Amino acid sequence: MKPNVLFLIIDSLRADKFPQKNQNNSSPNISSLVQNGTLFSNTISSANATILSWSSLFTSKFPFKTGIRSSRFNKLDSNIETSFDVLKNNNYRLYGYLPKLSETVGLFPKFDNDDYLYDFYIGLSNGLGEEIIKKIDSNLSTPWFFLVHSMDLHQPINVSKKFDITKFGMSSYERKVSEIDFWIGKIIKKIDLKNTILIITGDHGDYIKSTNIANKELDFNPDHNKEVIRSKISKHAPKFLKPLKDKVFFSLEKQAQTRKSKMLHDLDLRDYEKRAIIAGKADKDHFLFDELIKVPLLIVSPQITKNLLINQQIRTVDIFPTLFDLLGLKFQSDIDGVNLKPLINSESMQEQPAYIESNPLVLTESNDVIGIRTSAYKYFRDKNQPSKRIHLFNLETDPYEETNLSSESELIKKFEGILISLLGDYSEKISQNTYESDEIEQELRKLGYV
Amino acid sequence: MNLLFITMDGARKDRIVNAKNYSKLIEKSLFFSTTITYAPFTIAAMHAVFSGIYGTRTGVNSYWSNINFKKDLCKTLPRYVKDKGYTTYADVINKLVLPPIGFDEFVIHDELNDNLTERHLKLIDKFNNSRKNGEDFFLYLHYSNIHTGIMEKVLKKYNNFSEEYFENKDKNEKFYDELFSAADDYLGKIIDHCNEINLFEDTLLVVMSDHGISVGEKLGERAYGVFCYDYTLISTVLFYNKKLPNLKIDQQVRSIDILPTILEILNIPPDSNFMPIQGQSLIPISQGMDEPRIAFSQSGNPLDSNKPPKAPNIYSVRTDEWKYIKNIHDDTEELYFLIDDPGENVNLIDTVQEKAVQMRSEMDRILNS
Repeated sequence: MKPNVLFLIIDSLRADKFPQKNQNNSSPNISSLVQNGTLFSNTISSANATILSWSSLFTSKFPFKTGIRSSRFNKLDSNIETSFDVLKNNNYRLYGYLPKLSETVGLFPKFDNDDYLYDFYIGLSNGLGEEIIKKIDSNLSTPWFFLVHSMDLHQPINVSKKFDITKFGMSSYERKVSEIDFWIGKIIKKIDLKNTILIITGDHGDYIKSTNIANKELDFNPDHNKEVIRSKISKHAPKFLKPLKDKVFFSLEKQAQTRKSKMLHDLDLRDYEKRAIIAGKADKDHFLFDELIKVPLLIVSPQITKNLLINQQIRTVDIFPTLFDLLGLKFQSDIDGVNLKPLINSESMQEQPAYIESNPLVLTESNDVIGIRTSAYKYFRDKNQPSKRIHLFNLETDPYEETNLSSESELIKKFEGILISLLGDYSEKISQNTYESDEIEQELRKLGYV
Repeated sequence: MNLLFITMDGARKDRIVNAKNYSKLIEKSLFFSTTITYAPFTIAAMHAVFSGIYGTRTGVNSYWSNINFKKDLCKTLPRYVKDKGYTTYADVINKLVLPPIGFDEFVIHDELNDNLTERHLKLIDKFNNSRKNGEDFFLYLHYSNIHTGIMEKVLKKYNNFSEEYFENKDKNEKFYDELFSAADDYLGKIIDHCNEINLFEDTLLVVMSDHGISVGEKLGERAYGVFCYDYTLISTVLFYNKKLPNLKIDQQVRSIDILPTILEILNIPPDSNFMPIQGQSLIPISQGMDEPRIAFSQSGNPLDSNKPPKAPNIYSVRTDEWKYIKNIHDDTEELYFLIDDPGENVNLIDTVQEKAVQMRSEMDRILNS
């Protein structure tokens, strides 16, 4: 009998904030799972935001090969094989809970449960957790693949009262991780782990907008309730107000940044702390620092080594080839990911360079970057012009990526070479497209051509 | 030097050269009367004009392919001037018609309801104020009301094979003349106003038409964007500034030559970080150099469908004397001697084989370049 799979994606979950095996106080459930599974502590997501990360994770291909370029523009290329195709072809029943955003990219299949889409602001504690448990209890047809993408850690973070205390961490981010841990505990109680592979990972990381100075927590996170109200007003505003609405949004973001910069001026903070606090949703200049792309990967399965911590760099494109190996399945098409079985079996395996790409903004044009990460170096540069916005960091001596070695021309040449070889024939197609075909048809109709 | 660029959408050459205001402006300008458009429809035509590169390379070769524009590889006019510190503004008919990159503001007008004359005069005044403050500007104005009339009274009423349309050429001509007369009035008012405020002292004016329009010449094309015949392929461009010669040049040039010409007048060198511009400046021709320009064009025949195709299915190569057309959709060819047969009625493909071979090879060269 094929094992079931519970695949949990925690949006914005950073590797450095993932509970370790000794965190029984704040996150006992994940802590216990870590002791019973294999944890990859250096998993690099292909992108710094959800859409491109999904496109890569669920196809095991780098995002530029999938057709998906950002949330409103292009859907998955219909010729691309997804992990859902492989699972369906092998008689897996697909269940899931995903934020509504997932509808826009044409990546996800029709899940067996009709209620698989939920509103962005619904969290585990305000309905989603109970829904998941109810579904698991409902006698799922086997073998099943159950995908959950939780938005709980996504900004603005809303910590339940019970978890909003120091015991669960200093920042709202850490406290929310504990709250998620609570729900993971409730969910796995319903699962027979002898016949289920459990995977927990993140789609990307995030800046943590709080810091601790002299035991005092300075919190720059947006207020959850205000953000919800703002989003609702924005959603229901008439279409003709959209340009004004966008203008107001960018103006408010700019004001907030100026305010924060002034506040930070006299504080003794490191560069990486400052950049996290100042970063805003409307920033046009995008970056690929580790806090944005390094996620955890935990695999728990009877077939897998227990209590194993693997620090070697791996990539989110490697997750499905590895899972499929455990399930005895295989992609039929060429993929970029590799099977991590040798590492799980404590054998040596050559590190693969991770392709990384920033996700474009939707409301306006952003300055996006693409690059390469190895365990030793991080290289990224302007997506469209190789000689612009070059960033190179020595991750061994500068793990917080504060010293840009952009004048190291030999190293830059070397990493640009790796990047170009990964891009291959796609190097000309990397740029963001503008409108999707339905939108074009609508415009052509206005012009009388259709 | 500022840049005021006006596109007269769908203006036919035969009307342009005889219209009252247009011809007055032509007399003062450097005017190219035979400017072959890359595509006889605005979307692909203007992406080629703005990049100086054919759609075969930019990715925009059909009504649908705006999304394929290689904006990272093709540097467009607004980006060139933006890099020089210009404020850039476009007022256009629709968001698909131009690559928006490089414009500070990219505004869509309502072609059915807006008064374009008033709207554009206001914009000119607005940028004249910036000019007085010493700021350089690039203002792009799209005159879309010929399209509006054709859309309402031709595209929506007839199909490409409507007997009623093709049997009433005189009526079609008359209707087009009405639309063109309004366009000429618009141009007259814009130019008069610019003269009143002495805008051209330090502003380069470019006025072009993006393509022509059928008045019923060939069954199968009630307007444009279907075939590659001269009534839609021939457009015009004029450059006006006191420093430029006033010349009327009938030699064939290409719409992809417009960008490099503007760059030369504005003293902006091509950016070697981007794909090379395929067009060449027209200034040497204005100085008397004999530089023949072979033009390549592509169009999309919808055939039995009510939608234009996703990829071009008719290609053409044109010299001052000859036109070769390759119909990809039915694998046929056409060859016309334009000097004797400007209406492109006598297909010489089987009779002048040597020329056919030469033109075919020219098309291959362009497609493979």
